[in-house]
Amino acid sequence: MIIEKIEIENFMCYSGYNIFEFCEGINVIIGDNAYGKSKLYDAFYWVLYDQIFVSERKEFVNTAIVGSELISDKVKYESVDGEVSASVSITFNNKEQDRVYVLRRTYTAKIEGGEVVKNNNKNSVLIVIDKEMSFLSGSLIDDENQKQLIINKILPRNLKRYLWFQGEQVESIIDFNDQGALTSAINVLSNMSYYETIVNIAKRTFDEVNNEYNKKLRNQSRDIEQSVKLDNQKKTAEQGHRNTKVYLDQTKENIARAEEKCELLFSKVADAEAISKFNQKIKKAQDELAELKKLLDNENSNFIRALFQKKWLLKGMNSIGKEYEEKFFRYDKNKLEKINKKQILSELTSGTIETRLPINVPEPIYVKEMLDKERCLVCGREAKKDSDAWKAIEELLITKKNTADSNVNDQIFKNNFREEFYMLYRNHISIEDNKMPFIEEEIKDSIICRRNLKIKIIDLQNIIIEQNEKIHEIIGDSSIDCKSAEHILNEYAVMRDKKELYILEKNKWERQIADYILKIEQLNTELGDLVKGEIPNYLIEKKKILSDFLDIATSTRDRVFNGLVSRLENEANVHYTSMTKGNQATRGKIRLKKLPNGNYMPEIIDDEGRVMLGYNTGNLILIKLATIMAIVSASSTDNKVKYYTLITDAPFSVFGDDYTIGFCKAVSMVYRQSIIMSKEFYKNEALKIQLMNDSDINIGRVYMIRPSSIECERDNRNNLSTIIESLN
Amino acid sequence: MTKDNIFKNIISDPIMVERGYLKEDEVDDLSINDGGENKIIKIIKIAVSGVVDKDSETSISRYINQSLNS
Repeated sequence: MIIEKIEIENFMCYSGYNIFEFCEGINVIIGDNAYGKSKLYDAFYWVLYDQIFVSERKEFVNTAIVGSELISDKVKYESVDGEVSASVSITFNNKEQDRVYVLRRTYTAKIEGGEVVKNNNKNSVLIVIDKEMSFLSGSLIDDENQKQLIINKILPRNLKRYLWFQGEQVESIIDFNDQGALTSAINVLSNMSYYETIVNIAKRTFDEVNNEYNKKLRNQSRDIEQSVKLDNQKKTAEQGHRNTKVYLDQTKENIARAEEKCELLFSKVADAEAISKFNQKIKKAQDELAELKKLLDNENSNFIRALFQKKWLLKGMNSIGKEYEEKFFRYDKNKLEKINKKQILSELTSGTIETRLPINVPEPIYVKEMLDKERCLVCGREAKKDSDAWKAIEELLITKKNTADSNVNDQIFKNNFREEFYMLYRNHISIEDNKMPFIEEEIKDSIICRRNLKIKIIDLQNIIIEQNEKIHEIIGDSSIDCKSAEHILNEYAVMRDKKELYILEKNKWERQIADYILKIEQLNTELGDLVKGEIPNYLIEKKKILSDFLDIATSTRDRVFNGLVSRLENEANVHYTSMTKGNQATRGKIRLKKLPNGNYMPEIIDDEGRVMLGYNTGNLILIKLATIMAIVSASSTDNKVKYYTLITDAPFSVFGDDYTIGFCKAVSMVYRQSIIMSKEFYKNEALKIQLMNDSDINIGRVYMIRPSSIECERDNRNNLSTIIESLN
Repeated sequence: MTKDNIFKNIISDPIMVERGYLKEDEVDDLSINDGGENKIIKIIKIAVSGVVDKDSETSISRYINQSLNS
């Protein structure tokens, strides 16, 4: 089915009569943002489904809700009274069946005094014309069911989401989080449903014949009571078998979910483990650091204590000690001398000691004169300086002086610090008693110990900084933080354990199923033994044939499905490679992975078959598109979708310019006709030239659209229409 | 996908040969439009035709049953 043309009249920004004609290949409508591309997509969708896509809501909305918004503002603005309408007509051509379908939808509103009157008849009207091309005769279809049948023929409802979509919807076409999504897409887009139905029919017919057979067994039994008993046991076993199969399926689902979760977490586990390892190192270092700081504090206190208690403070004060010793001895000697002198003086003044001359004779003045003249004036003998005679004369003078200074000398006795000075002297003596080398060792040990502790502390602090930096590096590269790292590891461990448990559970169910099958077989034999006479051959044969038919139908379905998946994988990679050709990034390869529950999920692997995680949104969407294209092409005998047109608005918006040409080539390979609205070719002239001239692209019609409004009219849509320019 | 494609897919299943319904060299030559007395092939044809023609499952299985009773 080919879309020949779309005629648009007063529909949204398309005021007046507008026409786009299409042919086989890629038809492209080029226009910048808000130039009318999405409105063209809406026009297609509106005709078939009476809905338009509302970007604000991100959903399709019925005409009844949109109302007169469907009608061009220009038409509404220019009308004062009367009726205005919007209409879109699409002509579909089914060359294979020699038929043309024309679908025309119209919405009318009333204008009174330049205002739109609320329309009570909110529905649009669809006219369908079914024509035979050869005769150019057509018939108007009145029956609504008939109209729906034709619409479904043009685009089956279940295919709609895969063939007509907007850029904004691309991501949701296949939800990769839903494990059955791909399988259901395969079922919808391929002919798998035929095989599925045949399996259902085979089951149904087998159940019927099985019931008939069992009934016959009971009726021909020589011990009806026993047969009924065995039959009941068989029914119980069959029920058990069915229930266990359900449990098995559920367990398989659980395994698939656990595996998926494990895989999802696995990409983060390495980072989480690294963070956890670094965190453990930090914790260990912090504990050691706290211990070392305690030790250092202790060592510092001991050192200060030892400075005083062990007299380490005096280390290096030997010379001062010596000096002090001399001073102390001098002080002590002086003090003793003074004490002696005082005593002598006291004895002299008290008359205890007799002298050669009376006290104070001769007078000091004469004594001085004698010393100067170096002669005794009493006896007249010579007394040379520093001779004994001279010193004896001098003594007379000193004695007199001492007597005069006796008050001053008393101070020595008033402030008697000898004991304290002596203590200090003793300290010095104790240091001198060969203890210094020992103290030095102790001080040295203490300093080394403290220095080592400080080095260790710095090392540990560096380790903490280093580990923190490593953690931040990982956090920067991934979305994991320290808190979630532990959570991820725990969850991963739990999921792994769960998976193991489910596998054990699966084995248990499988053993039980085997037991039930054995039991049913035994019961069948026992029931057979009770039969008197013969079971009719036709029934035995019928049962055998239908049982084999069921096996063949099931096996065929699985075989066709697996074959389809394999073809799908190959084709998805062809399309994926084609779409990613213009981009330099690593692309990997699509693999459709079979899950334990039988569903398939696409994943990207590298050339060694390792799963590549963390690909970007653009890639993810390309995988989806490639998979859809593959489903569409793999299920079609000549790899071209003959009957349905791909219509997509802004499909490139999510993956960028590099993929645009690749996408067009892939679309060329898969779809007989496609209509693509794009802005990528609007400003990129080189891309546009490539689109129109690349031999791998089967180009159809190319149009450029732009709004008619001039600068001064851009504040409203009162004069807005769309200019359509055909580029080929 | 034509009736014949589906039919051929089913009869080419290994079980058909394993259980003696067909010989290996017979598979390629068979078509849905061929006559023949092979009962399983007969019911496969009924099933395929019914499914492609969108007959109901009930009526297809009834038809299969009837064909095996005769």
